Amino acid sequence: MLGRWTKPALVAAAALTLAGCASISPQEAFLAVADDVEARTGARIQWDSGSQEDLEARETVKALLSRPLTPASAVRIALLNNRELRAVYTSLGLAQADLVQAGLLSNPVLDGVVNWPEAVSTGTPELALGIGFRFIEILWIPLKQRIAESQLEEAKIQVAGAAIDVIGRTHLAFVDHVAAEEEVILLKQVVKSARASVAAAKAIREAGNATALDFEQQQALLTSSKLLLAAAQARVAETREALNVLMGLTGGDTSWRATKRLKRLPAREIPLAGIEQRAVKASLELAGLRQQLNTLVARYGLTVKQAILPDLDVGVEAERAVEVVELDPPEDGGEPGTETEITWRVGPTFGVALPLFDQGQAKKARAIMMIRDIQSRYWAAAVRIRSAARLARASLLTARKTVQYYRKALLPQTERVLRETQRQYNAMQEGVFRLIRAKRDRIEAGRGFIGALQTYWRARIAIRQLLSGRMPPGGGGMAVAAAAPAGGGGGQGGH
Amino acid sequence: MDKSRRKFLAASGVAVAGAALGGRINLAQAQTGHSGHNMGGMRGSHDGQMSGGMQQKTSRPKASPASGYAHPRGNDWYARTVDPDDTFPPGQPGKDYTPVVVPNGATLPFKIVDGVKVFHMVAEEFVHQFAPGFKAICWGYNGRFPGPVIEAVEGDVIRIYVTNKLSVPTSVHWHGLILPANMDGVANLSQPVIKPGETFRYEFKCIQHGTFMYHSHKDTMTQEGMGLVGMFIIHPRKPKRPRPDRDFVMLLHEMDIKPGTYRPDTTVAVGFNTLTMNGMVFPGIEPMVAKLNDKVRMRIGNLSAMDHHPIHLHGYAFRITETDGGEIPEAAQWPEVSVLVSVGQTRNIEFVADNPGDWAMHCHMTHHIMNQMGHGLPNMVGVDARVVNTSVGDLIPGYMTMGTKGMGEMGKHAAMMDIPENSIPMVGADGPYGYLGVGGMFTVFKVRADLESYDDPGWYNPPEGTLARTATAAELRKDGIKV
Repeated sequence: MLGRWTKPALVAAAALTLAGCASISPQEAFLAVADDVEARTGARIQWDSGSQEDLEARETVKALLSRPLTPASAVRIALLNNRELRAVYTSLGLAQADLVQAGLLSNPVLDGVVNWPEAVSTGTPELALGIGFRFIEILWIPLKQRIAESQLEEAKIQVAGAAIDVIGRTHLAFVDHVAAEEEVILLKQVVKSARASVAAAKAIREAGNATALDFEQQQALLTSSKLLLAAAQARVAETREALNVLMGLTGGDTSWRATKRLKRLPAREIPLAGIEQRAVKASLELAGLRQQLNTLVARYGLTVKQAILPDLDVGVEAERAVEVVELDPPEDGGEPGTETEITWRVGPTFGVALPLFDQGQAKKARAIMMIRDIQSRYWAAAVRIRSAARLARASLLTARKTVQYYRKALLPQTERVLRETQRQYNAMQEGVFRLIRAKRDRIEAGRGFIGALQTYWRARIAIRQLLSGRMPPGGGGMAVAAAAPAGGGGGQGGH
Repeated sequence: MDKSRRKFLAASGVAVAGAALGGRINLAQAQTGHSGHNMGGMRGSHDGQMSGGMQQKTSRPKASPASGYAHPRGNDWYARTVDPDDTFPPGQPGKDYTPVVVPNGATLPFKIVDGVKVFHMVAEEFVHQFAPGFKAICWGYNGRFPGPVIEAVEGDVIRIYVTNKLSVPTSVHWHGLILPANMDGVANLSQPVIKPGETFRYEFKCIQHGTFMYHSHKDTMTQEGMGLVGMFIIHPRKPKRPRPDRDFVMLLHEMDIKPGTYRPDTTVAVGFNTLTMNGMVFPGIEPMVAKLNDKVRMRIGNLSAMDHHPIHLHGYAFRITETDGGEIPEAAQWPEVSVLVSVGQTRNIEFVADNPGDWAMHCHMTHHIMNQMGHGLPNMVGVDARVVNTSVGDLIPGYMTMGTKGMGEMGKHAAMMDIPENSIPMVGADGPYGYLGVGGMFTVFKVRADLESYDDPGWYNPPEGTLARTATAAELRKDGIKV
């Protein structure tokens, strides 16, 4: 049928005529998302469409990168520069376009039929023209708009979630990165202490006072310390690259420096009362599912109506019948001519799909199943969120206690152990290796402290994410391979 | 000693000492009395003594063959100058004996009640000072570690009350004394324990003379180790030789008190770090002072836990005249310069102080003249300290390598360095020619021609030409010494 391939062209034409219409811009939707994200996180997202704004953003990123990165500046850069996030923003435009589309009637379809008479020589083809117009769409438009609006809301929720995810992941990567750098500093001291042991062992061995075993044990300790350091340095590189990706940095921009130390324990804790309910209330995942449900219900409503109302094509068909009529011979006695008589017959046509077989019952069942699917997923998500909230809360409190315990107990204790070892060394009750070991234990306690602080901040980020409406980055697991002080003392005895 | 401690409990009105027994029981009878021991029998007799056994004994009529105990006389080497069955009035200091000199110590006072010398000992816990800056919580008698010297004379009947102010049961064993088996003080073998708060009464006759000791015999490792030890001197009633002018008593002991701690660790079996003479470590020990040509006796006992001590006296050769087993016949006395006093032994040495000067006297086990030696350190002697100082000092500010030249440097350093409290690691004292880097079982025997008292006369001033000094170049040249 000719109509089949003329349709796309006509739709395109219709779309062109509607281009530039204000309602096609996703700006409003984006601003709403930006407000929402800001309300949830305090950070503002931007979507640079114009080149001027792009330039400004570029300048901002440059300026932020010129100073040591902080969690806040890293997040700002990520929100300005993360390309994946920008890709997510386009879904708003798509949804907005769908919304506009939902408000448009399908263009009428002009059908044409040309019949060539058997006697081609008569030369006049028969034409039948018809304009098809799915009249019933007029009824569907509000429903379709409702679906599209709901889908736009879904898109907004998804975009907000994606932005908050980037914020959380950036915070997390930042904490991991600074922790890794601190670990490297401490492990360098561990290596230094092992070097000192080796130097002492070497001098003692050279004096003829130590066995090869004594010396080799110290050497092995130095070697394993170096391996620990190398692993930590690799971790710095990994976390640095995670940040680079999140902040969308390449080339020269990647030579930033981060602040040197993890923030110490804040004096006040985030209020944790009713954390489960607050996390559930804030959850964008749940909001998204609710919105999906809305969309479905909207679609379900449509389905019901369609099931009730049979699909009705309404159109007007115009038919031009061509008949060749032999004319009477002319009075002058010439050849009787022919005359092509063209008559137009216009009448309504209609086709009715009789609801004999498909009364919509399958569609209805499908919709119900989909609703049930969302309902179940909603409950599952709520269970996960509540669990994550409890876990994050417990992790936060445990981590806070652990950090405090390190700070108030183990760090000063190892400091005192070092001082007392020094005094016992001065009294020649302990040897140089025990003294170095005490120093190393002090450093190891520092590593433990940094590990605990890292765990604390990860838990804190998890809580923030939950209260901002997203699951904690990394699946909510708070467990961090805290730098466990290398216990034992193999080859580290008093000799 | 603290006079307030000398409380005599219920000393008056006690009947004549049952131990001052007359009469004789033949050896066969005595031996019979000792035979047939078995555990059940022991327990039975022990139970029988639980209440009033001792009172019963003391209330018996004066010694008779029926008293059940005859003074042993089977071994003729027992140190005796009189017959054990003879009775004598209590020996008086100055008259019957020259009292012993106890550097840093004291003798236990007594009083005489009805012809019996009555002593009172209190076993208790207190803080003992080993040297200035070094104290520990010890156990001892009458506030002393070692306990006061008990001094008696052969033939004396003595009664010793022992009050237990410790928190643990105890007993006192009279080490080396020949006495009735159930006065011997072995807890639960010869007597029930003296419970905390209880006062026991020991009573026996001194039927030998010599240098003996006493110590706890309950949980001996702990209690002896904590300081429940003392010396027990019995002077001969009729000395065969002139009394000495100076009769020194010295008890050797050892403890382990780690720098920074305040209580001996009695579980230690080797590497004791506190080696004491009369409870003191050098430089806390008083010197022994004698006048030129004084007759000198030194009675040395050893109640260390695990170490024998060869005590070496400089500048003299002496004779070992007695052990706690008795006198050594003159012909058998070895001239010596060191006397090995094994654990649980006493030795008397005698000589004439004919060589003036300040003479070192010390245990010749070199670890026993160190204070609070640390063990298990890496051997640092000969190590190039510079390398270690640089690399370790970089890690631990203020680090200084020690011991590379031995321990001699240590004493001086310790005074300046931050060391644990309550410690005098390897600290010595200033001598007349420099720092004396010794500690532990080290003392000085000072002999002077002109003395007004036996107080410390200060450092010896050597006669011209008797002081070692740096050789001059001319002297080296003259004697052909190439250096």
